[in-house]
Amino acid sequence: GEIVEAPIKNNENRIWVKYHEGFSDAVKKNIRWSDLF
Amino acid sequence: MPSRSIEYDEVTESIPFGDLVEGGPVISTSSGLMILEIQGDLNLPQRIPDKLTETESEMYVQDESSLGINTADELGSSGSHTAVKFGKLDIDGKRATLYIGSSQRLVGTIEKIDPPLGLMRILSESSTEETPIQVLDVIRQKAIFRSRPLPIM
Amino acid sequence: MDIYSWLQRDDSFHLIQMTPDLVKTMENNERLIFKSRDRDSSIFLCSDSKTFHIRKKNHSNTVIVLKHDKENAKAIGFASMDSELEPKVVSGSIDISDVPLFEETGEEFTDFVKRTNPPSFADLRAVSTASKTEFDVQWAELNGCEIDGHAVILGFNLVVSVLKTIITTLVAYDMDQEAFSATKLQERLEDIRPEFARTVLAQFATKTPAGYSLDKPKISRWFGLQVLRSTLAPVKEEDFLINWKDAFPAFFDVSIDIQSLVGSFVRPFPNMVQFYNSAGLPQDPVQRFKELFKIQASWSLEEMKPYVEDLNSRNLKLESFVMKYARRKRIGKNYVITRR
Repeated sequence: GEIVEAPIKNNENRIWVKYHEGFSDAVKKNIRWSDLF
Repeated sequence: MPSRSIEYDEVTESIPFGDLVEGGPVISTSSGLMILEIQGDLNLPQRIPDKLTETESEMYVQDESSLGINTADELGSSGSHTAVKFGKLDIDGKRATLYIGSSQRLVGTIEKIDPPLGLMRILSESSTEETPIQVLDVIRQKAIFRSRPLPIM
Repeated sequence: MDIYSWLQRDDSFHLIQMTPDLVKTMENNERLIFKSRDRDSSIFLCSDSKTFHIRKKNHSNTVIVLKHDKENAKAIGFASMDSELEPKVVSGSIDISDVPLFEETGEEFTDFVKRTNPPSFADLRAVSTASKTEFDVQWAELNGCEIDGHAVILGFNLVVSVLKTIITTLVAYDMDQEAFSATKLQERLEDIRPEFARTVLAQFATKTPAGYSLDKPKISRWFGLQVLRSTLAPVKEEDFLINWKDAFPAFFDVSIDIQSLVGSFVRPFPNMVQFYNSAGLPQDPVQRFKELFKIQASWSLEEMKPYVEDLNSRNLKLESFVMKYARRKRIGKNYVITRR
């Protein structure tokens, strides 16, 4: 039969979403001046 | 001791935030900003890959201005940006569908962001004078995709 | 619509939560400034009236900010965010570690400046992680004083002596203690530097449209504290009250109430009072209560409150909180708190 190729096949070029099973609850962090500015 | 002032003239018009208008959610702000949130990682290439099929090449644009969108002026960013078309978004009422690449379909919803989010641009300090930080816009709604991607049928 | 993304996204963009408190400062058109003690310290956002501590909320979702063009149904992502900044209202503070204490020792102020090298007042204000309003209130509470552009703190004895002179002057010239002019007062305060008077008025008077009005309850408490602190040993409550009355300048009519000093004294023996300050008490509740009962065997809830309320982190009703570490004993009609 005919092989149907996806438009973007090799992994390097592929655009896709890697799903996260559980939503990791947000972590609140103290930040320093140099982290932001 | 470091300090930086903030300017928010751009957003004062939208304050105070009233109730969102009912009937047909408008996902983007009046200046055209919007947020997409996906429960997962979105894998995008960092640069245009070397070997591309014709179909693939069509997804890349060397200069975003060819798309008819100009981010440079309003966002204060400079230079031309290479972009990739990574999907398609359909909005139907509160429901949103996001097609990623050529193989995934994500089903999500339009939701209110509470509290709303202000978009700031923080550029590194110039050595001579302090550059104020700009609050460019306030975003109050987003399209969020929490479920596992489905195949495109 | 077609969705695009920049291949190199711009990481100079940040999202900040527009909390109701932050929005309010913007509605009032207050000046907003990010501040930090130094590059390795926490970030604060100060408005004219409020201080926010900035924390970063990280998440593992992909959040893309896009520019949408409705006309041609395209949107382009230019930033990807893995965090939001969260502004939380805190109480602002002035870091006075570099601000020297000025007492009246006969030393010339210029010599004092040479010896202690005080920070400039403008710098102190600029670097303090406090809103403008909070700074002014706290600076007054600290007996902060701006002299020739320098920031100094006036010592307790100097403040009391200036306060006494101000009261005596108001009495002597029969000026209205509830509505006097600071300028007229200053004309009559011959030997007092105007800066000192300003600091003392900031602490002990309120400004009304009619002029300055002495804060008598506060003045009363301040003199009470001074008397309490002057003897470290326990004194008879009666004697203390007499000494307190005597401490005021002549012909100054002000009432005294020992309840206004709650939190500054203990009762080591019946009918005796002694200066006691909460600084240095253990942070562990069990140890704290143990310490308090060692000094005073039985307490009223009201007098115990200032020594323990900071430990009540879960905001229980004070009585319920105290009962976890102590017990109630009935004496006649009243209850007292004693050790378990």
